[in-house]
Amino acid sequence: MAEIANTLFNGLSLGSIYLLVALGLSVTFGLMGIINMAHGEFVMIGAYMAYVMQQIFAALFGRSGSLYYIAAIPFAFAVTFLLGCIMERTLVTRLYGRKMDSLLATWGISLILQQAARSIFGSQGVNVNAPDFLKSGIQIGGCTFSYNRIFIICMVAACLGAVWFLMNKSSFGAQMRATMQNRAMAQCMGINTKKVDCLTFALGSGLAGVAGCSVALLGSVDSTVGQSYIVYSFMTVVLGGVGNLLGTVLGAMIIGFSSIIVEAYQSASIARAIVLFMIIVFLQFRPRGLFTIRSRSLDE
Amino acid sequence: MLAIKNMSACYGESRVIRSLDLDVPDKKVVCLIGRNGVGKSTTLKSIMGLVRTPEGSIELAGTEMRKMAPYDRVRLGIGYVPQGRDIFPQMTVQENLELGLKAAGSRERVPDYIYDLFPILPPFAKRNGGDLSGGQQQQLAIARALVLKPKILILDEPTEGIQPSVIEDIGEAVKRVNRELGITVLIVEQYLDFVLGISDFIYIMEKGEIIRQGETGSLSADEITRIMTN
Repeated sequence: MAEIANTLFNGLSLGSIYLLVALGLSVTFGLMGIINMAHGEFVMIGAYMAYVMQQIFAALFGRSGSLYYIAAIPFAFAVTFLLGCIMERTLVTRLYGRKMDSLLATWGISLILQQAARSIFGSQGVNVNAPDFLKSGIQIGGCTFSYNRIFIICMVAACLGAVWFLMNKSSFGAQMRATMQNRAMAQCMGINTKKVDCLTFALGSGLAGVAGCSVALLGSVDSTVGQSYIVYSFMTVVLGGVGNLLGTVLGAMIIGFSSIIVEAYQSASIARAIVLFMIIVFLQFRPRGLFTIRSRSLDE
Repeated sequence: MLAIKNMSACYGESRVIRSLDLDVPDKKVVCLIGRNGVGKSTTLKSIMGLVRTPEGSIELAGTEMRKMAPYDRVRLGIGYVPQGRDIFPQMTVQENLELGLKAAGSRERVPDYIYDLFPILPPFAKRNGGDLSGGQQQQLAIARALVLKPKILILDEPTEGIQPSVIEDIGEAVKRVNRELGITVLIVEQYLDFVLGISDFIYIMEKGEIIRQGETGSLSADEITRIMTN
């Protein structure tokens, strides 16, 4: 029983991390159709921002303490949001409707960002110390649920709620959905689609930055940390159904739970191969993923 | 109200409209008719800024807007209903209606005259636009364009694929928009009875140029049909 509970918790935890990285992708890839290969590097920048904030707090107060991590989350969001804004205005805006070009160009940006991180922080990984309040765990029966993983799950839920609210209940969200459904018509409704594009891409990048903060809690941060999550995150968005928030949640959970369950019987690398194979087979039968957006006017 | 002078329009390198002159007087209903592929819809898209217009001028109430982005033209006072309606299928009827207000940064509600003109819409407020029938979508598209009370309403083939009873409703609504709200209307249409029933002035287009124009009473249905089939 304890083993099953542990497996489920680990699956939920892993799925949450994929979901947090994929949330940003579901905005930039799912809604805008941009294949942003540098998304993983925004995760990496977010993780490094947690490290930077830790160093700033250590320099100012003698020790980093716990508050640095709370400050790091909005800081990482702000930095990656701003970088996303700059990247959209200078590069991505020229690549709309050119999927292959966007893939290659953003891959180039990904390499540049990785090299920049190596030049600034060195090729050795740096460690972000978990804040004091996340250092232990809660014991229930024979299971230990670590606070940092519980915190990540809560942070994902909060981000998910914020994205849902923004997209479905705010004025900007309505303009964003309209732009993604029909750009020309959105312009004809008075929507400044260039501004919406920029803010949407920046939002996706900002979410990647927040994901980076949580990834920093799980291990050493180096220039390639984002790469470990990017493939699964793309898979999450595609498996769930492009442009569908609920699909992204289910996709992340399916991949997270499958990985943990298969890993219980196989090595991690074999488990990864098996999960990817299962997704590929699934997509052969449902190429549009779990949730397909249908409507009369789209069918006509 | 709307004055187009010497306007050209291009798709890429291909020039599809040359030196077009078109005048839409204030508070009138003007129809632009012609066979398929002569450039009627392109003319409307040019007015909206959706097609490149390298030459000429497009003025709305005295303001030159040829180089403006489409969203700035909307803020200047154009309401546009494209061919095929283009409602946002995954947004509710209410969201479709409120979009213009949100884009303008307004916190006002959808004005009552919209529901007065299109009483079929309120019962569908929570349904997705994509789930409505073609006729309902067309009424939604016109209502959506009217929410900001534009100076001019531009309609591209509003009767296309719509059943006759709904065409009557749409015609009646367009007449009321013009008479009661004082909104100028420019329509591209192929359904001649509809055109003759609502328009004050007609332009006939052929190969990207205006070949005939006149007040509706001065052109008979037979004459228009003859010109369009020659």
